[in-house]
Amino acid sequence: MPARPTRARRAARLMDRSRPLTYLLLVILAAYALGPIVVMVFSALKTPAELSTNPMGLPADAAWDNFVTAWQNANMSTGLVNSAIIVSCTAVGVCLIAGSAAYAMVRLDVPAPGAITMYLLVVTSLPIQLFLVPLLSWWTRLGLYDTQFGLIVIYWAIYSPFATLLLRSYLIAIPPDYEAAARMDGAGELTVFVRIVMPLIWPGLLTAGLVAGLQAYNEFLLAVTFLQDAEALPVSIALYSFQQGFTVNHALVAAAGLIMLLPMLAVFLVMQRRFVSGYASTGMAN
Amino acid sequence: MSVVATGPGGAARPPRPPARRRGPNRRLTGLLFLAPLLIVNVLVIAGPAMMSVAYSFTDWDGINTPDFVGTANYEALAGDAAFHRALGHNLVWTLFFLTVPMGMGLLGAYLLSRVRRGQTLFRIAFFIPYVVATVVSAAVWRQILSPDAGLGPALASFGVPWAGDVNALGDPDLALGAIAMINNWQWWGFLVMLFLTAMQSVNPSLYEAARLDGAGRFREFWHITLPGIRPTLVFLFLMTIIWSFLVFDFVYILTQGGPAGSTDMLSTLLYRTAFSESRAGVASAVGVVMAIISAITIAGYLILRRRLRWEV
Amino acid sequence: MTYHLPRRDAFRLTGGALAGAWLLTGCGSSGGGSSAIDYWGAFPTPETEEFFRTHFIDTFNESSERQVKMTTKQLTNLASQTDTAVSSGNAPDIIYSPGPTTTIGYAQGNRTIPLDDYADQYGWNDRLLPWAQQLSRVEDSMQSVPTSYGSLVMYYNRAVFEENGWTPPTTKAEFEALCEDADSKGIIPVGAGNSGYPAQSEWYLSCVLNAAVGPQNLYEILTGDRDWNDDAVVDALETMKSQIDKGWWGGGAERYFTNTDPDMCTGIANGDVAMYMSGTWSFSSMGTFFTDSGNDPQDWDWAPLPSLAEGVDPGVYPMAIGTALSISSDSKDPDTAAAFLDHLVGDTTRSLGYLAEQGENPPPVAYTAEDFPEGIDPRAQRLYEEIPASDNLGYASWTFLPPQTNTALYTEFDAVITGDITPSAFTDFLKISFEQELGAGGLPTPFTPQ
Repeated sequence: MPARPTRARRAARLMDRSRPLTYLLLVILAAYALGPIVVMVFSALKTPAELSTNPMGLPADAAWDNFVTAWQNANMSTGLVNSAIIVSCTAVGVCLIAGSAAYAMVRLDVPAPGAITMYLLVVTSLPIQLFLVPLLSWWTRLGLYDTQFGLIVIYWAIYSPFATLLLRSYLIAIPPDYEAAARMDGAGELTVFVRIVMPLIWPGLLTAGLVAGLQAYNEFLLAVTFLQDAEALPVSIALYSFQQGFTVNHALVAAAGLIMLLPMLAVFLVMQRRFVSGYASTGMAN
Repeated sequence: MSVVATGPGGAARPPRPPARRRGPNRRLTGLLFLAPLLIVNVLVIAGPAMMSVAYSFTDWDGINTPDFVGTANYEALAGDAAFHRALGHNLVWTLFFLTVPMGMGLLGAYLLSRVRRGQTLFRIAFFIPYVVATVVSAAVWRQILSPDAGLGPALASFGVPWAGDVNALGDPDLALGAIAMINNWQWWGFLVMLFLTAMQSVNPSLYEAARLDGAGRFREFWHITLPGIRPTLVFLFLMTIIWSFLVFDFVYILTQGGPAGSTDMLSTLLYRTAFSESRAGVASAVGVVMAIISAITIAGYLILRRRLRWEV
Repeated sequence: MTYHLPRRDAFRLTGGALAGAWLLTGCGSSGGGSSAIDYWGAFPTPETEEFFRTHFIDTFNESSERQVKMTTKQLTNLASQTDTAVSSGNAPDIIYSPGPTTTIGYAQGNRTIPLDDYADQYGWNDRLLPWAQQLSRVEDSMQSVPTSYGSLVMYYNRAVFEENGWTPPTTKAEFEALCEDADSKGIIPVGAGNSGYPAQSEWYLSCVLNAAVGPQNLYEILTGDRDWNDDAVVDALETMKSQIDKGWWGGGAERYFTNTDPDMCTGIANGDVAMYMSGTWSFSSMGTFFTDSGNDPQDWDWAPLPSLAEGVDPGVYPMAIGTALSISSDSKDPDTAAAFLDHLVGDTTRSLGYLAEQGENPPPVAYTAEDFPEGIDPRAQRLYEEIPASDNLGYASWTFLPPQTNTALYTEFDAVITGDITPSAFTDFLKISFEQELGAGGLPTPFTPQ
C-alpha cells in the first residue's frame, strides 16, 4: 500500500461516526452469504443416506474420506492442472482483448461506436444453445476441436464483451488528462495504453479478469462439448462425475465443490491486495 | 453546496476533444485495438449464430436435412401457451433482478467502501457464493429448502408453525420466487464487487469536500456515490435485463421448469425443444426471439442515452 | 506532432497472447490415435468403468489388430453430447443412443449404416430377443444393436413387509389394501417424486399405463388403432390422481415435486416408504442405500408390477432399452466397430459377468439358469430368467413413444398432479401430439403382445 496522505487519515476518522450500524449490517449480509456455505461444508462430511434424512444439521460422523473419494474418482488433480491453464489463459486473454477494445471505444477514433456497443450487447444476449452445433462443426474444420486452445478462444469470445463494456464504463469515469499529457510528450498509443491506461483501470482489469476466469473455471457445457480427451478436461467436470443410479451423490459433489473453491479463494485473496483503489493510488485526486 | 454543483459527473470530466483525435491513422489505430475482440466474436458467436437464424425458418430436427418452412416456427410460438408462460416468467425475473440484487449490491458496496478494518474479510464473505459452482449451490439450497428436514421444519420446531408447511421448490406458487432468491444469493455479492470497484474510482476529494460542507450520509451517497458510478450502474442495469432473459443454470438444475411449468423460462423451453423433443428449428426460433427482445431493450437504452446525453 | 501508429506493437500484443496460449495448450492436448475406433461410455461408478475397461475394452484390443479407444463421459449428458456431436458431424465411430427413438432419427438422417450384413455374419438375429430385434430395425434394416435392457419392477423392503405382515400385492385390491394400511401407519405407500430429474414421472406413468391400461390396449394405442384419450387411459390416470391426492404416491402432490430418487430408495431402506416402482437400473445401487442407512443390503427385494385394473394380468414387465449402439456413417473402419459391437453382446459369460459383478443390465438375449455365474445376486438372476420366459411384456414410454409425446407425458403430467388440468384433458393433449408424430412417421415398431 502506498503511503496515504493525511487527507485519507482524516477521511477515515470521519467514517467512524456510523461504524456500529455499518458493521451490524455487514455482519447480517455476511451471515446471509455464508450460511449456505456452512451447510455445504456439513454436506461434504455426510453419507448420501444421512444427507437425505438430515440435510441441515451437523454430520453425525464426519466422513472425511468423501474428500479423498471425490479427489480420486473424479481425477481432480489432472482437472485442476488443466483448469489452471485454461483459466489463466482465459483471464489474461480477456483482459488484453477487452482492455484494448475498451480503450479504443472510449479514447480512440473508431467507426460507429454506438453500433459496436449494440453489437456487443446483442452478442451477449444470444443463448449458447443457439450457436453450439454450428460452432462445433466450424471448430472441427478449423482443427480447434478437442484442443484446449480451441476452448480458450471460445471463452475469449464469450467473456470479452461483458469485460469490454465493464472496462469501458470504468474508463469513461476517468478523466483523460494523463493520457493527453503523455501523448503531448510523443508517446505512442500502445505506450499510453500500457503505461498510463492499464494502471489507471487496474482494479477494473483485475475484476474483469477475475470474472472471466471464474466463469471459465465453473463452465461445463462448452468444456465437455469441445474437449474429448479426458486428460485435457478441466476440473469442473468433477462435479458431474458422482453418479449414483439415476441421480447424484451430493455429498461427493459438495466435497468436490469445496476442493474447487479453495484455489479460487486463494487467487482472490492474493488479488485482494492488488485491489488498491486505482484512482487514489495514482495520485490523480489532486 | 459547491459539491453538488460540480454536477452529476462525480469525477469531474473535462471536455472531450483533446482525448479523441481524428484522421485516417487514428481510425486505423482504433480498429487495431478493437480487432482482437471483433475477430474472436464473429468467429465464435456471430458467424455460427447466423446459421441458427437460418435454421429457425426450417423444420430441422438436428439430424436430418432441413426443409424450409417459412415463418411457421414463429407462428407456432406466437400461439404457444408454454412460450407465453415462459416469457412472462422471464419478465418477472427481470423485475426481481433489477431491484433486489441491485439494491443489496449497492448497499453492500457502499457499506464496504466506508470501512477499513475487516473490509477484506467481508468482501470475501460476500463473494464466496459467486465462486461456488452452480451445481453445488443448487444442491445445498435444495437441502435447505427441503420440506422434510430443511430450514422450514427447523423453524417450525422453534415455534414458527407455518414454516413447516412451506415447500418452496415443490409449490407452483412459490417455486419461481424460491429460485430467484437462490440465484440472488449467488449474484448480489458479484454486484458488490463491481460496484465497489466503481466506487473506488470516484474522486475521494469530492467526499472530503462534501463532508467539510457537512453533507449527511444519504446526501453523500445520492449526490456523489451514485452519480460517480453511474456508467457502471446503467451498464449493469442493462446487463441484468440481458442476463435475465438468458437465465438457465439454477432453473435447469433445480426444477427444469417445473412443477407444472411454474418456473419454465425461455432458455429451459429452448433446451427441452432442442434436445428432448428434437425440434432444432423451433428451438432456434425461440433463441432468435430471445435475441430480438434483448435487441429491442438495448436499442431503447441507446436512444435514451442519446436523448439524455449520458456518457455511458 | 506525429503519432506513431503502433501497428507492430499491437500485433505483438495480441499475437503474442495467441502464440503464448498456443504454446501453453498445444502440447497439453493430444490428437489421439486416428486409427483407433472411438467409443464413448458412461458409468455409474469408477469401479464399473474399470470393470468395463478391463473386461470389454482391453480384452477386445488384445484379440484384435485394430483398437478401440474409449472416452468416458457422464451418464447425465452422454445422450445430449452425442446428439450435438452427430448434429455437427463429429460423431464417434460407435454412436450411443438411449433407445430406439434416437436411433431412428440418426438412421433417417443417414448418420448410421445398416447392420444387416454384420447381423448375418455374427448371428445377432438368432441371439437377440425378437422384440428387441424389431426395435433395432428402421424401415426393414437393422440400424442398432441393443447392448442393455431392463424393466420396471416394484421394490420393497423384506424386513418391513414381514414386520407389517404384508406380501407383495398382485391385484388392484391387494395393492389398495396395502396402501391404506401403510398410510394409516404413517408410511408413504408408494415412493414417487421428480425433483432433480423431472423425467422420473415417466417411470411411474409407464408402470401405471402397463399395469392399469394393459399391454394389449397400449399396443393398439402405439400403432394408432386406439386413441390416447381412450377410457382405459383416462380411468387409469384418474385413479392415480385420486391416489396422489390421498397422499399415496410420494406423500402427496407437493411432496412429489421435492422428492428425489435417492430419497425414495433411502425411504425403502429406512421403512419410510413401503413400495417403489422404478427401473431395474437400481439393482446396482439399491444395496448401497441400505448399507448407508444402517440397514441390511440383503433386505431389499423386488416383485413384478401388480395389476392395477380388472382385465389386466398381474406381473407385466414393461420393456426398456437402456443402450443401443449404432455405427457412424463417417466411420473409417466399420468392420472393427461391428466386431466390437459383437464383443459387447456376443458373449454370454462376459455380459452376465458384468451383471454379476457390477449390477449392469445385460443385452436382450435369452439366458438360461446355467448361464449365470456363481455369486450373482439371485435377485438380478431372477429378473433375467423370468423376462425371456414371460408372455406378459409391456412397453416403457421412453423406449416406445416418439420424443415429443414422451416429453409431453412427463412434463404435462405435473399439471395433472397440481390439478391445473384434468386427466382427460391431459390425454387429449397426448392424443394431439402423438397423432402429429405418428403422421410424420419414424416411430419405433412395437412388438405384438402375446
